[in-house]
Amino acid sequence: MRIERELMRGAGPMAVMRLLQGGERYGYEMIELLERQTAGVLAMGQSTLYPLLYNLEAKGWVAARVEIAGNGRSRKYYRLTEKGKKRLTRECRQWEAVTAAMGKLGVIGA
Amino acid sequence: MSDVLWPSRSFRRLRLTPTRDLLRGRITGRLDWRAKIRAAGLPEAAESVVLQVVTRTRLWRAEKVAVADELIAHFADGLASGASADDVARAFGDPRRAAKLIGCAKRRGRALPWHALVVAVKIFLLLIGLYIALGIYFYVGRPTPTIDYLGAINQRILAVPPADRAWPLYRRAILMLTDRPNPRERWPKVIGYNFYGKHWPEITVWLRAHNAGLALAREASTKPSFGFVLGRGGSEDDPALGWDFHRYDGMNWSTTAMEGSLYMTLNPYWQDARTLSQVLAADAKLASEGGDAARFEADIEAMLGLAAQLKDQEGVGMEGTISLSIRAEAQGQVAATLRDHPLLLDDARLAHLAHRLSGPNVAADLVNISNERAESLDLIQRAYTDDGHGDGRLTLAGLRMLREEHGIRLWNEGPSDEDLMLWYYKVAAAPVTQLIALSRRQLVDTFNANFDRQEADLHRPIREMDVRRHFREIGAWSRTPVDRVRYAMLQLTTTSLHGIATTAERVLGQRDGVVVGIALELYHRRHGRYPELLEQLTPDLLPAVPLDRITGDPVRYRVVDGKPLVYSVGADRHDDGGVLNPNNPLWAAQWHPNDVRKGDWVLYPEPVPTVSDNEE
Repeated sequence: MRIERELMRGAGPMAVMRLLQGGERYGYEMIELLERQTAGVLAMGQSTLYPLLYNLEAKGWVAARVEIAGNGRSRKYYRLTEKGKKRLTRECRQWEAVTAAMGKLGVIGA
Repeated sequence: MSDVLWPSRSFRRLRLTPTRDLLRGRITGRLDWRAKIRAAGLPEAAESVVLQVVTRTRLWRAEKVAVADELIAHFADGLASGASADDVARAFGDPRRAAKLIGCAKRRGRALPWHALVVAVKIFLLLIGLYIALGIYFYVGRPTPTIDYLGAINQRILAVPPADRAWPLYRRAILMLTDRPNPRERWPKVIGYNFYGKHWPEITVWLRAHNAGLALAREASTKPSFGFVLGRGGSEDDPALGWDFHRYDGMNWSTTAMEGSLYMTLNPYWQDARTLSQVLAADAKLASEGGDAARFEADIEAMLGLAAQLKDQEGVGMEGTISLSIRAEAQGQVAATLRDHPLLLDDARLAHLAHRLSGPNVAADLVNISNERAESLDLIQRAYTDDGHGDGRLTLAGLRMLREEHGIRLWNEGPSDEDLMLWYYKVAAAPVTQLIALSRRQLVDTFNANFDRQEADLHRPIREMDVRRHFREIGAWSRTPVDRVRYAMLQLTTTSLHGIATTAERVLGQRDGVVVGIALELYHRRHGRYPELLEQLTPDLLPAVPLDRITGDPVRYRVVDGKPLVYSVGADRHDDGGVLNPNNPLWAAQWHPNDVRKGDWVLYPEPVPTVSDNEE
């Protein structure tokens, strides 16, 4: 099932930040996790993930560090900042309120 | 071949080395993101995607390097997970969209000064755009004059029957008095000499030789209308009088925009009217010396008639001032005769003259300013656009009118070169001027309010006018550079009537002196002495003692050495016992609030003119 772009626009950043709540992750890893953990519902095109990460970085919600692997290749790891954590908490509450409201309307669990 | 390429490769490496590395003496070429992608060893499909994305982001080199690193790692991870190069490339998505989104996101993360600079550049470009739009809006504006003020005035002039118009007779009189080969210098030099100087005998000879012309001028002065038809094709086109000038010919387009305007109307009769008055004054003096009372009276009547005709002539500009000067000349001749030949005129003639002079009481009785307003409104309609509802904006023609016709410089025009200055003026300053300058409605409303107030002032003695307010108001129009631009058209169109009011007051004061002088002469004839008080003249010889035009109190009167002296205390309002200002006897009558002169203003007898040895 593919999610409409407008809905994904709100859910995508939150999903990525939620993934980062568990610790540092790199881009390809996040794409795989989103695919696997959401059964493809929140699967994100790779061309979408990186702009999203850069946006979160520009807003100061995530930070990145570059690590040079043993083969000499660099890899960029992202982590949630304090500001990002607060943001994630607030967004989670909003999503809870939305889903509860949807449940009352019978949209969820009908 | 590698020898040839080496310098360019080295240069490229140098160019793609961060400044930080260069400062450390290392030429790393770290910013060469293309080389980095190629060196990553990705399969062709993946490499192509990375190259496309990074190229299209349009980011700075360092940012591109960072993006390239991340995408290389991404594809390497994908390949390491067992996916084929094509699958990884396909799963990536649209490189164009990715590049666009990555570019935007990366730029969003740039430092604050960069964002501030971007905003500043955008604002600057917006302002440039607005300025260009304003310039276009300005340049497409054209004045569309709708009221033919000149035609309306001529219609009134031509409505008077030809037999009632004086100009045709004056014209003939001028031709009879000026039978000289060059019509441009038609008046003989002798007419310009001072009556009280050494050339008086020559003047008398000339006067006696031109009786017929003078008689015709006197006849013309009895007509009810001056009747000079204004504008091209009117009375000004008269080669016989030397008026073959065509001021309009060969002038630039701004003048063309002014063609047919009241402002461009020529009034070449002004100088001739003034000279005719001098000739009549000289003849009055000659008549006075010769004991010819009738001729003296006829000359005075002719001068007063000419002054009245000019007052009512539908001209623009100087008629009022010339009319006042002619009237002053006539009054001066009466005063001089009372002083030098007191017995010339019998009681009846003196009484008649007193009544003849007594009419006007305020400046408005002596000058007609109706066309002054029309001239200004005419200028406005030729400088502004017309939206059909009384409003409009200043046009290029209006700016040229200010600059070229009137020499009003709105801006500090730096370049001295005329072409550069015009360019600067038109391109750089004009659109802004349009924004600052008064709109047509604002201009007309302010102009009319000012003119109404000044016109009302002419109906009261100048001592009751708030002259300082007038100067304050005019001063406020040029207080700052912006004010000078904003009110430039108002300054151009607003006529200060203070000057003509001042002149009228002097003429009225002089008239008061002459009328009191006539009453004193008549009293002296009856009683063999002058009265102790002016009140003794009323009501038989004088309806009332005139008021000092400066203070509003009765005029001062003394008998000095058996001779009467009537005076005003002058602009300084201090009674100096009738002592004149040593530099100029009329300075004491000057009403300028910022330039008050000492001395009294002697109204009667007329001070004897002094003629220097050099003066002709």
